Amino acid sequence: MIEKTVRIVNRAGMHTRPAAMLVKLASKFSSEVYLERDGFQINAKSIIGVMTLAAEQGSELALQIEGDDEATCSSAIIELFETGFGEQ
Amino acid sequence: MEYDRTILSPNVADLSAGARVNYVLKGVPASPGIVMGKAFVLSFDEVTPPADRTAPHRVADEIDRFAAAHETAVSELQRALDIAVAESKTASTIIDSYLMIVKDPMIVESITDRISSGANAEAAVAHEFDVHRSLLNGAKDPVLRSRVQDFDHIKERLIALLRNRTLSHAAGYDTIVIASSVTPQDMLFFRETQTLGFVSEIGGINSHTCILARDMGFPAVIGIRNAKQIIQHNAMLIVDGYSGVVIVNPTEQTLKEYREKQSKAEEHRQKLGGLLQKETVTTDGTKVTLLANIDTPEQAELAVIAGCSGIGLVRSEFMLIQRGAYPTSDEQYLWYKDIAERAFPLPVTIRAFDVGSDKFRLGIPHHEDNPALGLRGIRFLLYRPDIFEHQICAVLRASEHRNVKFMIPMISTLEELEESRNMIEHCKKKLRAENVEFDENLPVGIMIETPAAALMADSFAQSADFLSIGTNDLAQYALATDRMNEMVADIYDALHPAVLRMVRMVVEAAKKYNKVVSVCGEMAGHAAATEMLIGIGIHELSVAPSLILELKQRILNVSHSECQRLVERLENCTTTQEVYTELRSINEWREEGDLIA
Repeated sequence: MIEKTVRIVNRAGMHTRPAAMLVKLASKFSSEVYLERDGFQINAKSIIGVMTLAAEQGSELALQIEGDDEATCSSAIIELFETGFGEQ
Repeated sequence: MEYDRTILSPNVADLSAGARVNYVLKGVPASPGIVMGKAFVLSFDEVTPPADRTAPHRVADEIDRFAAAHETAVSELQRALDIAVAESKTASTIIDSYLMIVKDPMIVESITDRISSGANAEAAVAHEFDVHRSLLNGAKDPVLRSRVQDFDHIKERLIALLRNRTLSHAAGYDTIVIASSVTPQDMLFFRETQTLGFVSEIGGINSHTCILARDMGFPAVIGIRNAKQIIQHNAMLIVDGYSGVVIVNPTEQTLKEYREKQSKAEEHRQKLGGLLQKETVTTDGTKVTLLANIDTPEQAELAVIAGCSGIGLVRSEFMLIQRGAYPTSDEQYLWYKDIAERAFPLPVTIRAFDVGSDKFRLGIPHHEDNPALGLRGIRFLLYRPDIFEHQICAVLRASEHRNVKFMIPMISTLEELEESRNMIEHCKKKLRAENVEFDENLPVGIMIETPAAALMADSFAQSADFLSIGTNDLAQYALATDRMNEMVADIYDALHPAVLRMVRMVVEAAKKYNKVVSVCGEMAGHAAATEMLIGIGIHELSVAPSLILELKQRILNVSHSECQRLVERLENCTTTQEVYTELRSINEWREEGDLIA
């Protein structure tokens, strides 16, 4: 299992478009992908789950990935967060 | 984010009699443009979630019923997506996200579980979405919070389908839709039926529906409470998406005025042909952002019509001239909010009151012999923290939609910026305690208009979020010349090599710390200076709304590399005359007059 803290860097936060990008990316992998904020955990393959995290700019989320392809999955997801979902 | 500030003019009785009365409703301008036509009032049954339970032997049927409704919702959205793909990237992205929400496997599973444990399909859908709604509704960020509307739209659609309702949005041709709420999916069908525009009771300017309306050029006003009760089916309407005004049963005179306004905007669009739509780039692909300098909310509208990419400077002191006194924090808030909403989603930079005894002397304690070097700009604001605080709070409150920035004038020391930041933090704390919404990350920038600020740009670029060069004052201070004094007027020139060197220093510093630097002085709109500024590395220019398109036209014809070569040559210039000679060499095709403009 891989555990990492990720940060929302883009100004608009995790609004619908970034949420959709994350779900689409996570769904490509067979690993289970979870995100947790303030004790509230969601499945990163559910767009409603990701949206309800309501993660604004600057907020930190605990990423948890478990499965056969966890290594490639986590590096892809971390990169998505670090690049601010392609937004400023 | 729901609005409630409907202003009613004459009484409702006049309206129902169908008289031409100019019944004015004020909402939020959500998508620019003016349309006139008959109202088409959409009325749906309100969706009230039933509390009915399902008997154990009927569970399988109930699950099938949900599956059928779900399948229809998916195929409807799939069809909307086909239309959206042809419409634009924005449209397809929005519809695609709706599709993802409907298809979310966790949701489908959870609704099915709810039915299995005894809820009927409608209740299962309603409760499932309501749980997520309340989670998202707790978001700190108002923009994220506004996405609860997406959940509501999907929930309502699913419940309507469970009750065998098809999309009943067959609004007539050439009508204006009046609805309590409009979904992105509705928007696409409105387009197919050539609806003119829409007025809604709820919704936020950040909603996907409004983003789509702007993208499709579909005029809209939102936030008119009770619109469906006030506006009768087939009533004549004017919808002004620039100002957020809806006029019901307008008089002939008013219709005439708006027709003129509409045809003017149309003429403007036609005359400029494709120029409005074009991105502002040099021939070799360097992007330049053109912003507008404005004084009033009405001018924000002109700037939007001219196709600017934002408001680079709101001269807030204009309010002082209009009112002849310092406005209250509430008055300022409404003013800034109006500007921010009219410009939305474009960014708006509000500059703090730039007072000084040579211009707006309001509140300055005594006569100054040398006002240009006296108590002005930030110096005055720190001397009157009461005035500054009111303004900061008003700007913060207007930043709710995150398209507002704050700029401090006449900075000459780092302490001034630091003290300003402390004041801003203090105001944020106050607003937080009152549960008022604002942008926690409100960008705070400074004007570079004193030589001290230009020379220290390296330090300022680290602590300010953005920089804006006021070339008029910078030249005046760099050359120690009062530009209003005709005895020394020949020395004053914003193109003096000393000024240019300072501008370059500022650009270098900004680049080093990855901060945006713009020019909002007269130089930005100076015909001869465009190439030079672009060559120096200024890629944001803020000018009067009327100059935007002219400037755009010019930029579309220059090459960035040529501008850079020009700047290399300018480096060797030691007199203003030499600078002009160089500028003229690349401007031969232009009229002499341009250079003096």
